[in-house]
Amino acid sequence: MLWKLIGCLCILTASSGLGYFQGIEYRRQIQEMHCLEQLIREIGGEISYTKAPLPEIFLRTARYCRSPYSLWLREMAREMQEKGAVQLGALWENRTRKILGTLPLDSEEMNELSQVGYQMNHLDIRMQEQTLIWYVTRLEERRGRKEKILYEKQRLSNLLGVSAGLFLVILLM
Amino acid sequence: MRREKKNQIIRVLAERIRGIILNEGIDFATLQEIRLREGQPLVIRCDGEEKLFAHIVTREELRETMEYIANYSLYAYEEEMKQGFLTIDGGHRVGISGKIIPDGGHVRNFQYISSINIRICHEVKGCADRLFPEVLENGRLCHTLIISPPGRGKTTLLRDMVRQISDGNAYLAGQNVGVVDERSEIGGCYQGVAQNQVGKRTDILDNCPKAEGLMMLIRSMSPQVVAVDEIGTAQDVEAVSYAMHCGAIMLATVHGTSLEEIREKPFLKRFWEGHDFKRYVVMKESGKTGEIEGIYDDRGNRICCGN
Repeated sequence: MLWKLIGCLCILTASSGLGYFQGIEYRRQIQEMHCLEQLIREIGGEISYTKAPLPEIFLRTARYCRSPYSLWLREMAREMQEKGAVQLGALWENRTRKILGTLPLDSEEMNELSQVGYQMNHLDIRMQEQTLIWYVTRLEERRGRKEKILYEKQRLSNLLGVSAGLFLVILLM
Repeated sequence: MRREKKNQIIRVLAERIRGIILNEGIDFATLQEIRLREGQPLVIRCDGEEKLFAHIVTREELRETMEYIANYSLYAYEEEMKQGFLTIDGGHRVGISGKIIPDGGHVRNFQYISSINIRICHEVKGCADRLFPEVLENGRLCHTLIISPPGRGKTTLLRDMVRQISDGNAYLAGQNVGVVDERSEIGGCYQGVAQNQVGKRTDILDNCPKAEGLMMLIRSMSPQVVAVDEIGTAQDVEAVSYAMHCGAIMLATVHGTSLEEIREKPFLKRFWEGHDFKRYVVMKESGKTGEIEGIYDDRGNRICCGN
């Protein structure tokens, strides 16, 4: 009986934990979106203010941001400086999927971020700024929508975790 | 970071054109220019001789080349592009043409780029050697104007003069030299650092308008010698004149074919009339690049024949 009780407790703890971590993952997703937003804003600011070429801006911005964003920017700058017969859109997409692929972003968000490179390299600085503003605005909207339902989602995942545990315990008893 | 000339040039070309040029086994030491025109054959000029390739340049190749030339950041070269050229790592000049976007009588930007001309920058150390005894008066350097048609080596000559004055040579002790390098051709600066050898006592204002740059240099760096390339506008002439009267020795270049032409030019004739420049170095219109037709004093007397 004691072993059964211990088993039930373990199942309940594990399933509740799963639900809890799922809730944390939702929060992390929002935090990463926020971080990405700030990063793109910083890049946009550097473009407007310094008008420096992208590799320089990426290297400068990489110094002040955390991993994996710093690695992502450094790698892109390195490849740009090497000019290995890769165009900006392809280079951006490749590095984004490879290095930022581990971030807890939805596939829709990842796709949109990967496509930003194809819309850059404008002749005009205002168009370059607009591209980044457009992307940041969309990211901000999506983050806002996610933040609104974050509390409900966290509660739901906690509840689902506990319920699934209880269901398993009843089933096994 | 100083890259090999071959690498500096090859890496800005579209992949297909890179392959063609590399397969041809071109001597990059004699390469003068590469011309890409949409729908036209690829053309290069080596040692004064033109070579046409069978390959027809496409719009996509032009676009790809522009992407590499501008470091994937065309917006960063907006101001240079308005003037029709930009300078790449190593000081090589890239001229562009195509359809422009006009804006109230001015060039706003390019809408389509249909031609690219990559002019290779050559450093010829020692090419100013024979000028030195002639541009000095009582052991002091004179205000000197180099007159030359485009592509005849005036910038190369000016660069070597700057290097020798800055480092010092058999005729002069090293002096502080200020260079206003509006088109990044003298120093060939990359991220603000000169890629060409301009001497150890040289300060460069890169990508800076001449008129503004001259004032800034004189006020901030107190140079003994100031150098500028291709003066031509009224503002340039005004700023050069100001700098000459601030105690700095002026070295400048201008487009022209003869001393007479300079005497007639509306903005430049004031230098002649005021005897501002003490030496005029006139370069030959034809023949080998860098050949000097003659050196003249401020009264128009030829003090030295060309080579």
